[in-house]
Amino acid sequence: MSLAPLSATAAEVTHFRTFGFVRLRGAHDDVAPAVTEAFEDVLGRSSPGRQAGAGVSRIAERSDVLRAVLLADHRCPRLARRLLGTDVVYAGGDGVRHDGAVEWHRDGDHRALRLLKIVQYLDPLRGRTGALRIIPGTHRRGGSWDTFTAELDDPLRRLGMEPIDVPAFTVESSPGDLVAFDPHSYHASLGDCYGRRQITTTYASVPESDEARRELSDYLLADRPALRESDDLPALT
Amino acid sequence: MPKPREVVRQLEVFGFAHLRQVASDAVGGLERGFGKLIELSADSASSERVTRFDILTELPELGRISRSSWVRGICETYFARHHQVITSDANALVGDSYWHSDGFYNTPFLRFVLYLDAVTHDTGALRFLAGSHRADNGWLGDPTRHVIRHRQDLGLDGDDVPAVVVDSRPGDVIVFDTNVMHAAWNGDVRRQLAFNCVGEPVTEAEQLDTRRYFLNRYVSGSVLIG
Repeated sequence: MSLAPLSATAAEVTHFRTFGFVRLRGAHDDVAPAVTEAFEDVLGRSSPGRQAGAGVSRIAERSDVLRAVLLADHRCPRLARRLLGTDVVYAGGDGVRHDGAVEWHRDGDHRALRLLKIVQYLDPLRGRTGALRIIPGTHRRGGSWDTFTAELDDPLRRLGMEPIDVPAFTVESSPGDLVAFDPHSYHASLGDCYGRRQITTTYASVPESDEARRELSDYLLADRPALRESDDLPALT
Repeated sequence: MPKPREVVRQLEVFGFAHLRQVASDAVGGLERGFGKLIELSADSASSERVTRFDILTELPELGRISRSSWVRGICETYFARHHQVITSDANALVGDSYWHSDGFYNTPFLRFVLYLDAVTHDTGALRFLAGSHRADNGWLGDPTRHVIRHRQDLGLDGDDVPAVVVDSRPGDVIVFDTNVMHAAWNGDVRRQLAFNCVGEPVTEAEQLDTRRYFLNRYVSGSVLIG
């Protein structure tokens, strides 16, 4: 499979760094059918979990097509290096068929670790059918947003508004689009979105501090509780 | 109507709040009063914004809203002290309002806005960058410059900057901290009424901010006060 490199323009990089996300319209138009077929094939062969949907972790590693489209160095890794402005390490990802909404949240509460999620939604998504909602600018660390977690966890009780009314930008998408975002941003998918399919690959900036190395270790071990509880883990370098 | 503490929390978190139909019973009186203040041409073909300041006396319906229990509740909770209406204005707005904040002050100011025409994303509705009213949220500097220079830096038209559009219909009130970045795009002629509130200034810095803010409502740009 011969694929052109993935990248981002200077304006798209500025967009990502200013707002915490960028939508690359049509970046996967040429491979969208093959990606969808591979997604269905992997989920069909697997025994996906059922927590909030059927999901397979590290789906890109389980399919030659997905490995070529997503993980080849000139594809998502190149895009991640461009957007984050650093060398990157692959930090996993998943393929999920969602059963419903995903409420407001951040992925972790990392102080030093920089993550990038690259998502391809395999169905057209609009505001009330599960499109990704992001509060632009909330990817930045250390400000007031870090103190408003309780408000975003329970907007009805804390703010007097339904989750779907929380002011945010809706990133509507088509199956050939890629959405790259910093998962430290507050994000959600709301509305009538049963069966929404997504493939995610996640990259981390190569950690340069002890805190970032520790946070990356925690992130990589998050779905491996048996390992996380061990005292004999090798330190990430 | 959300409780005042909920509205205030929305203001603290996002910098703005949308209060649907809280002034619906005043729309008729506001429309009649607006017509006496600003005469719109029959074909709505105005090409320039028209503004009248200090209108609460001439527009008693708006004065009543500014003294209402819910406005008092929001202001007293937000400012945590006595407050006052510092300015008021009636506007016949035309066209776009570019991305900006109304200055960036350490002293908080609130602006209550009512549109007498339905406005949406393609007819001049207000839009906001949530959280940009707080200096510690990292919007100052390059991020704000990129938004203001949206075409050069982001390759976007102003209405494509990812923001929150607040569609509004007559009877709604939008209240915002005037530090927050806001804009309105794609608008034709639209009637707007507004008043601005501040907590009673106590410190010298608050008094200076309040004087500067007051004068800047009348004169675009930065007014220096020694």
